[in-house]
Amino acid sequence: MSSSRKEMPPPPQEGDGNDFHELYNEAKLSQPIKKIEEKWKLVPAFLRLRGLVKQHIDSFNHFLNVDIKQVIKANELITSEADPKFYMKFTYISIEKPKIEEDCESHQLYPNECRIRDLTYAATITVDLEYTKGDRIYIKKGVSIGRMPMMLGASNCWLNNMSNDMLARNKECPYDPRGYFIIKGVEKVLLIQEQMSKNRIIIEQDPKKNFCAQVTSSTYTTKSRTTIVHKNEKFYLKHNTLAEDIPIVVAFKAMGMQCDQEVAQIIGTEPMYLEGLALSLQECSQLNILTQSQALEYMGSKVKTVKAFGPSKSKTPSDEARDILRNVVLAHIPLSKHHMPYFQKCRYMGLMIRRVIEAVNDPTKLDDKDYYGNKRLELAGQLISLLFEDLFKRFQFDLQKQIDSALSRTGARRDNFDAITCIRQDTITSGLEMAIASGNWVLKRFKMERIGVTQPLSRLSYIAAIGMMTRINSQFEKTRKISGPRALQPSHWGILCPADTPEGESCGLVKNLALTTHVTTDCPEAPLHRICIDLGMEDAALLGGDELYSKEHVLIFLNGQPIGVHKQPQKFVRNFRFLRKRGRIQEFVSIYLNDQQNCIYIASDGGRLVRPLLVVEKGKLKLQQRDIEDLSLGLKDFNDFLKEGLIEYLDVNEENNALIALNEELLSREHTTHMEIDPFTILGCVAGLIPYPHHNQSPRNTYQCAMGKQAIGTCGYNQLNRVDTLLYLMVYPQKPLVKTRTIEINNFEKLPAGQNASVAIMSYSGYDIEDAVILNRSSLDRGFARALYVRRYQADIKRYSNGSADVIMPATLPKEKHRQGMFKKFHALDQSGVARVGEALNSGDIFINKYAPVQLADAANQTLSKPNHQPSDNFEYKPRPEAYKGANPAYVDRVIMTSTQEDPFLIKVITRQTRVPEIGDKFSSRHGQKGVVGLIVPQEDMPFSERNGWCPDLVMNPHGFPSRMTVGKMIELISGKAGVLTGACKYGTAFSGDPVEEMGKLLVKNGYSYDGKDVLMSGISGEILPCFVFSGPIYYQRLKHMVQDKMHSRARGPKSTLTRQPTEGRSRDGGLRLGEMERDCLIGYGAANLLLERLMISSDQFVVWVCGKCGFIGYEGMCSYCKSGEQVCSVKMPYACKLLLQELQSMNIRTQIKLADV
Amino acid sequence: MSGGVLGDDLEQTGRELPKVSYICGGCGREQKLDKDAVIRCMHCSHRIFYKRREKKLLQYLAR
Repeated sequence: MSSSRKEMPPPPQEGDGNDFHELYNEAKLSQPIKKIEEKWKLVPAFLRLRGLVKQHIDSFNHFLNVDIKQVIKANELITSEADPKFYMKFTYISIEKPKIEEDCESHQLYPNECRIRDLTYAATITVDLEYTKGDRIYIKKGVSIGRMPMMLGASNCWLNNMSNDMLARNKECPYDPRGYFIIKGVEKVLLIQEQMSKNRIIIEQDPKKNFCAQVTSSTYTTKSRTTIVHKNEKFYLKHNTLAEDIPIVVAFKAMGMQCDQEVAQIIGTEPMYLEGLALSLQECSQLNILTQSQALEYMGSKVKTVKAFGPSKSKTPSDEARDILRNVVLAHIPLSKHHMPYFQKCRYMGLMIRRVIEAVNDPTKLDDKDYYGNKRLELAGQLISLLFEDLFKRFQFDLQKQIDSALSRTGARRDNFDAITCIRQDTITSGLEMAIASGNWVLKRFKMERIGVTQPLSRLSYIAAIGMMTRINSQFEKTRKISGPRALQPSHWGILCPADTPEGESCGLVKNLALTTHVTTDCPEAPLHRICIDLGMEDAALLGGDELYSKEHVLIFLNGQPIGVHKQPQKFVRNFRFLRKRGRIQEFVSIYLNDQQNCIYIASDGGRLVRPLLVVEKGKLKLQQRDIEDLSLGLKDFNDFLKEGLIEYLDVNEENNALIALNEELLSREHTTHMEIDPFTILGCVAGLIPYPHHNQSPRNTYQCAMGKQAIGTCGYNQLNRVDTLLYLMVYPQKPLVKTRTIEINNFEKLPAGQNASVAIMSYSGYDIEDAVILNRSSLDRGFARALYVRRYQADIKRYSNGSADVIMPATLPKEKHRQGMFKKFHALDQSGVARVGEALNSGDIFINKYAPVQLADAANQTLSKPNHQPSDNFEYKPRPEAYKGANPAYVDRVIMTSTQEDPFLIKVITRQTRVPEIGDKFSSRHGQKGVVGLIVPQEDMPFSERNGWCPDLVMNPHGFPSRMTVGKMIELISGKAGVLTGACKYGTAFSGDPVEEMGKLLVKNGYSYDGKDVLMSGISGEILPCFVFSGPIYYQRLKHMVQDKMHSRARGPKSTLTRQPTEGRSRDGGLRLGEMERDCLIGYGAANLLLERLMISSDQFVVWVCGKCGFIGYEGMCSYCKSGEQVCSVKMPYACKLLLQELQSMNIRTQIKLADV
Repeated sequence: MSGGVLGDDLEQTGRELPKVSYICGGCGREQKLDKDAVIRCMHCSHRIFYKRREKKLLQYLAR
């Protein structure tokens, strides 16, 4: 990252030719219009502050330090029905750092130990309690209630703020993204979940094209969806708990509104709204509902009768209706304490109706569900918080039950009863562990049932791991053929990567964060409300409908709730933003003015997406060149810029109030409020690896995003200490010659996945058609694309209930009954029965010689009769060895012995294979151009340059270019070549990388053609090739798909026991299926004998005896149905057919076979 | 090997043979682990052990 390097092309009219700007702004003349050089340095500064996956860690920290305390506060008290004097109060909760207690001694637990020993990286949750025992109140501090899985890098993780030196000592990689959990040794990521925002009104059309306003209310206790539908010109309240839609005026009356005028006023008295409401008012009077009690009765009769568990407390229907209105409908709107408890709910409903009426009159006012301002992201903190609250309630419920039963006893036992003894830790511990391990989030309270929330962290390469941490999952069904939620929206600009999404069914539903996106966490509302009042807002509680909606005011919303009005919206917003810049308001709180709705929205809720932007005032950047210099000198950091107001965070909604310039040239336009830090930040960190992505056809960038995650490379500095089941590593990884700013920022240079191959783009030999590439044999010998394949096997010693256990034995000695040939497979074992480190394993070799006990029949009787008898001598042992499978040998790399609480003896054997590329292995450049190796050619046959002896590592067929239009790849080649010749890496940063023209000039300066083409000689004939060949270095990735893992053939082999047909799949040495479509071809062609041979004779031919009389299957010469063997004939049929006939028969379906002569 | 009665023979031979030594992941000291021993370092109570690389001469085919 040398500071002398120029990243942008010089602006076209630099220096004195300023006439372009003069036209716009005179003030501009006095200031230098020079671009701020290297303002991209803000991006690494931002990421240093936030980290690549800071959103996960921030969210979890918020949970650990803030949210969990609120959860406890909301559920702090346990009382007992058995003893009214008893209470237990949770006064404080804290989470320790991860420790583990074994054999009565506790020690610090580090992540690496968890990975190796299959432990959970978790910390103890302790609470302070206040409870009664007998007549006294006891206070107990630091009582453990369970263990909380700890996110790596969170505030309570050991790795937080650890120096690189210490990280290395603990076998951690300093560039590891963190932000995942380790559950039983497996790294699990909680994927970011995308959802519609809570507690906001969404105006949409239901399937019947009725306009409706929908609100999903979400509080700590309830979650419900309230809808107001406009049906037949009338309004109805729709809710899950109501069997039928309730006319809205009835609902108003039930909430205590007395006359129609009141209803009309709360919605608005302009003619448009009155007209819209007229029929609804009429309907109510037709129903003859005039009073609150009538309305409640009416509603009560429509309540869905859900038979609740336990004895129902025989509520009257109107009580039930009142309960629903109070607690379920619009649950997020609080009730007022004084008269008119429902006033706020009425007002909110009025607002919803208003918005529906507006939408009916002008359908453009419908909300866009896919607009990203209406979305919220749910991160690890929120998800764990939901789960924890659920488990904590269950824990309290169990506790209460135990206390109740203990207190309902009498006498001394009751008086000496200590409630602490009832605390059970495993409800919370195992609940959290299970949910994260399986990814099933089941919360009965919220009727939430989600699967696949967690995924094991992919460690194929560093980029795969990072890519997984920034992934966003949405809740939409994958199967539905809808384009809306899948499409790229303008509101995604800058916060979601436009290229990184999978192909196929989940295309567009799974997204990735852009480089500088940050996800907010909750921020308290009360101070914001206070600030609004201080800024001159009139409190909504004092106002009626007419005042709220008058054109002279704007209505102010705080997190979706109307809180007041203000007469000078612009001033209010400006002041609010000023306070935010000054740090009086959290930097992520957003405020925006919606002119159309005449509203101001303030949002402080969690899960919003924000991104930093440079602040522009009066057409000038507030950020100066010297600030950047201070930044590079380390005198200032990103936070300082925030405090000084040079940079601001905007969320998606607030961006609508901003005019954001893309670069300095566009700054002079009027009203510009912000400028992008750098346009390349709209891409994510996976798409950021692509050089010159703005020259590629866009799907190619998407393909590369998928392939970059499969590239073999380095997965971390600790890769050789890791114990993953499968790891692909590159032997000699190189950093790319043509890099991007993103590559520097996300440390891809330090943990690369690929090599700079010398590529000649030409046709060679015909083995390069259909994207195949030709490799140079000598390059392979020099180590090109050589990879390690590291695999873990493990075995544990199980102890059985009858006192026996598995044993691991050394190889049986040759003097015993075995032949030498049998003995050979034990060659790798040593005296302990596990392979020696460094031994080569060939197919069939045993590396963990385990035996499992089989109880003998007489021994079983013995133990039954005498339960305490020592049975160990009476076990027969059956071999259960771990044997190596695979065509090529592997080497034992490490043997690890360890123990856990469950497994006292755990062996992990790690094998290693070095894989040199062979024909059929998959390669790809960084432009979505994949191909397999078609031929490996000796270097002497490769084309070469007579001038300097250059010879390609890889030959690629030029037919890959015209249809794919990956111009970026060509530019990468030219830049790479220029970089090689000048001894410097070149930049292919999106929208700004080193321009081709300059690269061409560099080539010319070094005596090459400006277009990157060279004169090459044929390696075969020695003649000059008739064309110039476009040649130079291109960064190539070796992908994880290798022939060795896939090649498969079979002549004869195992058959499955049930159907007697050949088994399926390579791992079972399965047959190659002649499938339905192939069968169709043979039928179409009429190859009857071939069909018969493939489908029966070579598969599962079977001879059955069929009775010609009854048509049932009988025995040889006997039909058990007809009791005669007269007409029994032998028939050849597939065994599967015989099986079907018998299965049908067993279901009482008669199947008859009629025999005839052919 | 079809499940012959191996138990007695194997256990006897197993006891005669010398124990294999392992390196403790915590303190790096060498320790001989018995078959039935608890996997726990005597010095630092660490519970991860690595097998030492074989001293026996191993020949590989290099490509």
